[in-house]
Amino acid sequence: MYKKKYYGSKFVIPAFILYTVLYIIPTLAGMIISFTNWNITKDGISFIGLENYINIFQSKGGPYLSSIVHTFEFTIVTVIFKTLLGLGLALLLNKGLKSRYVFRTIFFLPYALAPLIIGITFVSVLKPAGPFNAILTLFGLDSLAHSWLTEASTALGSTMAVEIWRMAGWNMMILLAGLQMIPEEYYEAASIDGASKWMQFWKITLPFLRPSLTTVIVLNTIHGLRVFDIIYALTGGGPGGLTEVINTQVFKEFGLGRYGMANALNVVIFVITVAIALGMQRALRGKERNE
Amino acid sequence: MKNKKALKAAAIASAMAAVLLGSTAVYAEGETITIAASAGWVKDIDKELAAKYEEESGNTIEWQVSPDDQYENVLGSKLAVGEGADIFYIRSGVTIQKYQPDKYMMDLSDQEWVSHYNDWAMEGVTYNDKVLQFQTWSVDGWGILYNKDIFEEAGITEVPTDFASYKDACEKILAIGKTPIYEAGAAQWHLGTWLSGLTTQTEADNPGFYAGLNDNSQTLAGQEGLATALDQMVELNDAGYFGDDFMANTWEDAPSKMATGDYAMCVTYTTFPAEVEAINPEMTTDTFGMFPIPLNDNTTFGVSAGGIGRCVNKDTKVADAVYDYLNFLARPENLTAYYEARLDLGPCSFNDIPGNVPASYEEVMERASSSGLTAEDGILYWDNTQVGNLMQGMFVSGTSGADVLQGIDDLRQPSFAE
Amino acid sequence: MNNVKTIKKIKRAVHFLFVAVLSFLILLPIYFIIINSLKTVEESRTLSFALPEVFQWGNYIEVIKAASLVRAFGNSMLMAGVSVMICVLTGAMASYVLSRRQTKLHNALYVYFFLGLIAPVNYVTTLFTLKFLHLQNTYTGIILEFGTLGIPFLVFLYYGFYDSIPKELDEAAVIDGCTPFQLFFRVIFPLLKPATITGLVLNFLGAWNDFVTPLYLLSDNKKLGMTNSIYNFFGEHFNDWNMIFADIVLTVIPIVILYLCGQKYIVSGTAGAVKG
Repeated sequence: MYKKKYYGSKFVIPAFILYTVLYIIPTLAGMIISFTNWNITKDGISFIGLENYINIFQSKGGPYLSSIVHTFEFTIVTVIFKTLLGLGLALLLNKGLKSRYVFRTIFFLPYALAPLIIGITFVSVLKPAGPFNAILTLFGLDSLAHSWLTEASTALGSTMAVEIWRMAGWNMMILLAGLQMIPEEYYEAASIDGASKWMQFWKITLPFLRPSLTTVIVLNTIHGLRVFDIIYALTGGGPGGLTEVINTQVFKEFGLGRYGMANALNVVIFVITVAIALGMQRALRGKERNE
Repeated sequence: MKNKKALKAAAIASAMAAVLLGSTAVYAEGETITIAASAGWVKDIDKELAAKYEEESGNTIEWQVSPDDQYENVLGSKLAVGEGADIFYIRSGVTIQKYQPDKYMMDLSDQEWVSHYNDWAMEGVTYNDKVLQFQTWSVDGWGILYNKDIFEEAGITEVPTDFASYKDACEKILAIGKTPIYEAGAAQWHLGTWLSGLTTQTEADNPGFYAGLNDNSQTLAGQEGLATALDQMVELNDAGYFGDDFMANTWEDAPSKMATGDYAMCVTYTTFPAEVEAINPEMTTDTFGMFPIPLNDNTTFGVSAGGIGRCVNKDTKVADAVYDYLNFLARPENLTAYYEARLDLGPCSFNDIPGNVPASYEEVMERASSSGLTAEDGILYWDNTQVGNLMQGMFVSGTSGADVLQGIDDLRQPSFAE
Repeated sequence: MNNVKTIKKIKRAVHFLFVAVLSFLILLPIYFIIINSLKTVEESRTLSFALPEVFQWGNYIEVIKAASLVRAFGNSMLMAGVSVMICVLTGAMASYVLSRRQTKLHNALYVYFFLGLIAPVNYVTTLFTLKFLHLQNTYTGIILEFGTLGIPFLVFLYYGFYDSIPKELDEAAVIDGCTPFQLFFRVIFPLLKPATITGLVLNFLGAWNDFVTPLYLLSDNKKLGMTNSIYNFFGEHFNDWNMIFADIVLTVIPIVILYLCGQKYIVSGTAGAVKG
């Protein structure tokens, strides 16, 4: 049995040590802090059991519950649109166009920009007198113009739109990888049998794409639930808390020095995300096996 | 064979380690003083004076500047981990109590420059009878800055002294096609500034109000006057006095917007006209005047505890160098250079030199019935950004002034938990 | 026959036009950044799509000086460059064994690494850990931290890839007398070029764009990289939009170049992550 010798643990050890020491231990320590009243404005620290968690679910000390609701809204909408747009772009740019490489680069470009930069840029673009409304006016759509990031009806939606803008190309990339693994012969055989493009999509493309779709949906969900940078840079949780998500609350609690509560919020989002991500993976992958 | 591999691996590893360690900066001579500050608090003049000091003393100044909105988070964590800088900037006044003064701040009472402090500076940097900050800033407050030319054009002869006359004035300005008030609604902290200046009136009417809030025996909820003032802000907006989409207005734009002459008023500090003049030389500081925020018929002027000060870390290993640096900054010629470069600052914290005393400051102080600390520098765990976030709610979700006050209480409460 | 050809041509033209129009949604904000970086301060204050009267190329020189961008660039290259090598190497090695062995323990370890995609980073306790190791405020510390943050994604990325390499290949190499290290570095690792380049590019990008981690783990401003320089610059010169946008362009150019170099591998490189 050469397995033990050739795939020895020494290969895992460097990653394991780094990851455990610099990631897991600090994170676990954070989880322990979540059961304390650690507040840097005060000396001393003691265990208070589940008090922080109880306060979260009673929204005592901040708009915690509404921020959880916003996080879910943000996640659901962005996951759907990122995935669908990513799929659309992948299909459009898989083959056919000679210029597809150029376009792929263009669509992937936003992902290369730091969320901070995207935030600074879109705050300007989406101002009432900003270029976006100017374009709407150009097309005679001035009735649609809004103060996008500061009106109650559009603020959260606008942050979602910017996030979708940022990530659609990334989804496209992963789905393109999936598309390119589908053997061409299947399509040829289907064409000879007279199957329409639509039929081919349903019967060949989608089933083959299921693993990649699973991957993007799970990763999109994780990104959505952990969202911080883009919202922070665009609205800072405003106006009036309407775009507050869990991680903007974590940031504020840290700022107030309430480390116990900040960590408790971190744990809540972690547990929710793990449960959903593993559940989704199981559900989406489970279907694959049945086929 | 095997040994050779192991050797090779070890060689690569040590080469990598050498690259990594070699890149760590090493300072050869003199002491290194680290200074942590928020980006907006450090200007070119600070860097210039630091450079001059480096040259003179052989010590090195290492700046640790963080973006404004991240600074408090970063400072708090570094102090908590024992990694605080030798000198760290924080607000004077009640903010000092937020950072465990007994644990983290050196008592500076016996420093020579302490005897030169002005009264207001001395008060702002003192906690439990200990001087804890070296401050070169200025006492200032936020009032309503108004463009005298526009007031004249609109036929406003008397400066408003209560809410009714204020609304009248706004109406007249609107009538001549100008926007009465530039309000930076996108900057949550700026909305908070309104309320932070109005609590001064509550304190003036019931002395001990701040003390009660700070020992948690008092609440903001139930303060009718403050609730009325907040509701009046909504009234102003409903009447169109803030213009269209004021919630998208940014504070960064405020000087250039006031320089256009399209806006008549803005809640700001007294040195602001100098910034407008820098953009539009036709608007000199004479163009502007200032009066207290007249919501709820307020006539008091809320002022800071002297602005921003430098604390010395109790754990610093280079205390002597730090004292040396502070003494250097306290020299009259360096104070003069500093205040000449900082036209955004008013009177000097030290009595050696006057600093800048803007006309607006004298004007608003004359008009005010009294002055006192704002909430930001007088009420523990008050955070203008969070208060402003709640206030935005009044304009986008229809919450009331009373709701905002209750919200502030709710936010502060956990910080009092034992 | 001609008809069919024409229809095909029209179809292709429509296809192209559709994609081109969509790409404008991406390009317009990017044009906005570039065009505003070339204006005077006054022109840039209006934040419009309009062309500048005179292109102000000097903005770039000025911002490079004002924000000390040369040093920031060097810092970013050092931090992103070295950390990427660390996470690609350790991630590829770990993932290899986890994928080949598939025992209960190894599967559990895979989940252990996967949780890193979700777990929150705690800067206070991380700083504490680095301080314990005497690595606070050092390039070494931040490089190791950036490297570590990249490991979970790389383990995930490589994992599926190894399945596509037949085990018979390993066996043949073993019979030829390869040592374990030779087997991995000479035989297996070179086959993973697409995944490796994808991992390099994405993690480089992540480290380059991360501005929060350096805020906590590096104190000295002289050690900060390009993205942090924008943030600080924005704080100190919040009204000089032309300079801010010039700073942004300069920060983005290196990663765009890197992406273009790696782009032909990136699509095939993500295949591992989607194999399941």
